Amino acid sequence: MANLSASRRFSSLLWPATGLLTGVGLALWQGANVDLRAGAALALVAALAVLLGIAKTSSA
Amino acid sequence: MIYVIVPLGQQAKDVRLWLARVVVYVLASALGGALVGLLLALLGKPLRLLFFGREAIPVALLAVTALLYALHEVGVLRLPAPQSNWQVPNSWGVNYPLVGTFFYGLALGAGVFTFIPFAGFYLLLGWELLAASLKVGLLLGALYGLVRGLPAMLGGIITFRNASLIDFNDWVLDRQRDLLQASSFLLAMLGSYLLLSLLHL
Repeated sequence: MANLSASRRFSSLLWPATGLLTGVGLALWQGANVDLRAGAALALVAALAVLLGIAKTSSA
Repeated sequence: MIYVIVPLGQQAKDVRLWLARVVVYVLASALGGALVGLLLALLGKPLRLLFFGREAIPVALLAVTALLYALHEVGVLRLPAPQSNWQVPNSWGVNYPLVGTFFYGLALGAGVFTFIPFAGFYLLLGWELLAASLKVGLLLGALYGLVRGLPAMLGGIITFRNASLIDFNDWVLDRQRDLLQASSFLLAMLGSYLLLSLLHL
């Protein structure tokens, strides 16, 4: 049981960990110099909106 | 919404009405998002005074929030997720095809009146607030509403292909966990990106 739980936790952390590393990679690659007015937010917002849009097709 | 904005038949007038409703819905959704973005930008202006012009503070706040909510999405952490369970009445679109659809899109595009399945939305609201720029608030909000409104087309496309809306609905519901993982990935990516950007601020 403990092993199963550890395995589940590991698989749960896999996605945020991969995202974290991707963000670090992007920042290093781009020499991150962002401010909140930069257009960098737009891609994220579009991606999140697609997720929401898809999810909301099944409700609301 | 895929059950609401669908063509009532296969005739040209049915298709025209459906197209008109989709366009009205998507535009209203963009407007709803833009209005919320503008409102938050206005509220954020006095808030910015608390940071004494130091851009690093709001960036750090957003970065930490994004990282924490990335863990929330996959169930590792449990964080507050305030939301309303109100559902836009289907009758709006049924009784008043165009005007009802407009308000339907406006309410859903605003995002704050209905349930919030992904934590990224809180980050969006925080971003609109902390950027405290009318242009950014308008742009982010409108983009959010616009892209969020586009899947409304699916109802018609599925119907025209003689596929089942119920099957599609089930398919989406079965993938909630995958969507949450994708959301977690995006939030963690943004959080670490913003955190590293602090080194340059």
